[in-house]
Amino acid sequence: MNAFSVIFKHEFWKRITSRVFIITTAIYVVLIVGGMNIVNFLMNNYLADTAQDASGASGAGMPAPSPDCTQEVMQMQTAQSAGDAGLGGMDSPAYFVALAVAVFVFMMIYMNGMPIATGVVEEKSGRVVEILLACVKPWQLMTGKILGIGATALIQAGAIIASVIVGIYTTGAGEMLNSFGLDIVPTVILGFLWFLVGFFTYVVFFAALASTVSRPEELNSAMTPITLFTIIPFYLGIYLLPFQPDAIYVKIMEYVPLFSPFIMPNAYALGSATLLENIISLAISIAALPFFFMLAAKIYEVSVLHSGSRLKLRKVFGEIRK
Amino acid sequence: MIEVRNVSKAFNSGANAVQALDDVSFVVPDGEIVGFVGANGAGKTTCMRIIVGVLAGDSGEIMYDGALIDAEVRRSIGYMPSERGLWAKDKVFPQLQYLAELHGLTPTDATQEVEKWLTELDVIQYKDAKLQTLSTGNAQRVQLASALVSRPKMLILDEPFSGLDPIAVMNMSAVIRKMADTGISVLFSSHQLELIDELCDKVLIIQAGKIVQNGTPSELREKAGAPPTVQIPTPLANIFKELIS
Repeated sequence: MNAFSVIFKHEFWKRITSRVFIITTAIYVVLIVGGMNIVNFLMNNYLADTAQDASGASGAGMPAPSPDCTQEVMQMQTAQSAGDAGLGGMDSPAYFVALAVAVFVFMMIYMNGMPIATGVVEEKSGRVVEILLACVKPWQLMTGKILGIGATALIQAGAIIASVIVGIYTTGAGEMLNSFGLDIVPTVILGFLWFLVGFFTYVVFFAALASTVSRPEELNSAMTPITLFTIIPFYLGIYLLPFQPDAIYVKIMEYVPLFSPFIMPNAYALGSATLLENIISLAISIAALPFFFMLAAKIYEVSVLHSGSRLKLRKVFGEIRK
Repeated sequence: MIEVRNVSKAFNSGANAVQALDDVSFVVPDGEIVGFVGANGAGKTTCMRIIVGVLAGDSGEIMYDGALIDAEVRRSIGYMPSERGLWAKDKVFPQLQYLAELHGLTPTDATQEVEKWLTELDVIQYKDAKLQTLSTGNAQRVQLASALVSRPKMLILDEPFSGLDPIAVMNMSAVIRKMADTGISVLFSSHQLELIDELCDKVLIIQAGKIVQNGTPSELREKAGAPPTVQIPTPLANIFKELIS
């Protein structure tokens, strides 16, 4: 077995058998399925009450509201908010689906990027990295770690998506979303693809930046640049996009690799980007991956054997230029 | 046989430049133990890091059996760095197994080697313990085991005896001698000169990045015009061992 597969296997098993991974995955599954059913139950009660109030107000002796009536009320409310601003406003079902996709991509990057960063610092602070680098190349070590933990992220994402599907079936939310013109299946598939691309685009930098510090206490400050780089497109995707979907800067960001994973799936859910546009943007992001990977591998190679205080990025890039 | 040919290495540049190694050349023949001696900062660790490939030299070559050393040969080096390190929160056995597999052993062979060396170094009882729960001495034995489990063709040990009690030193030096007797080249650095004298077939003295002396312990003694050593009939370590056993 070559060194790369050994690292992959080691990182995969270490993560998938860790208590944190098992417990958090289980909590997400329970929260999603349970949460969707509870919300569905509460919404049905609320909408039934609203429909009853509406029929009560129009006169006594009117027939009881039909099951379709609740949906009509909801559609009316959505149409009302749609007139307020942008693509259906912040209380439209499309917005909630877009928000869910953005949160999913963001959460998966963070939840699985941080263990990669922690693993890199642990190997540095425990000095084991010198033993590892005596038999493998830095990029092999970094890639093995990213793909090993990435494989567990895939399993976790699969569990989350499966629980969303179970939630949709048990609550009948799929029909409701379809009635609002939302194609739930391609939205979920695109969300998953964007998670994959976004995950690998960002986590390479989690590993690279973690290698610039030698102590776990310094990890948070080292992660600041990448934290900002995830939060900015995330907020743009959930706050700017729904209100200015056709603005030129939004259209540009839909195709910029570090931004597109948070913006494009939302744009699709909100109906401001087509499937073809998503595919083109995905292709651009995938084409950019080798460049990000090489840059991260260079940062990692320059920094990973450095001990002492945190390496400034300016110094790292100076070393790379040499 | 490891051959270091005209290796130089400088850190930093301009006014802060430090010449860590300056045209260093030496040979570590098969089956011999070569001791690397020098003051702190003399260049021992840098030289060892270049041999194992953790650092790149500015110039010069590292040869193994007459050919330039490559990644595959480097995987067969057993390395113990001066800054000890394994995964403190992980159990002993799995991490040694991982390191052995990383050096190219099959999982079955790796398991056998780990069992063998933990037994040999008398730490087999800690195989399921987390490394951070072990004493310094036992952790150091596990660290040496990590260099041995890969069935190495060469051993590069940076201060393997620092911080060890006399019995652990005796135990570990016996293991290193045994390895050399099987034909493995061993290069180790130490500040314990009596140990270098006792264990090494050859000694290299490095100062400010240059090899200033190279020879057997008796050759170096002759060069220095030093009187012959006086053999103490029973080394203190043996007495100590007797008393506590």
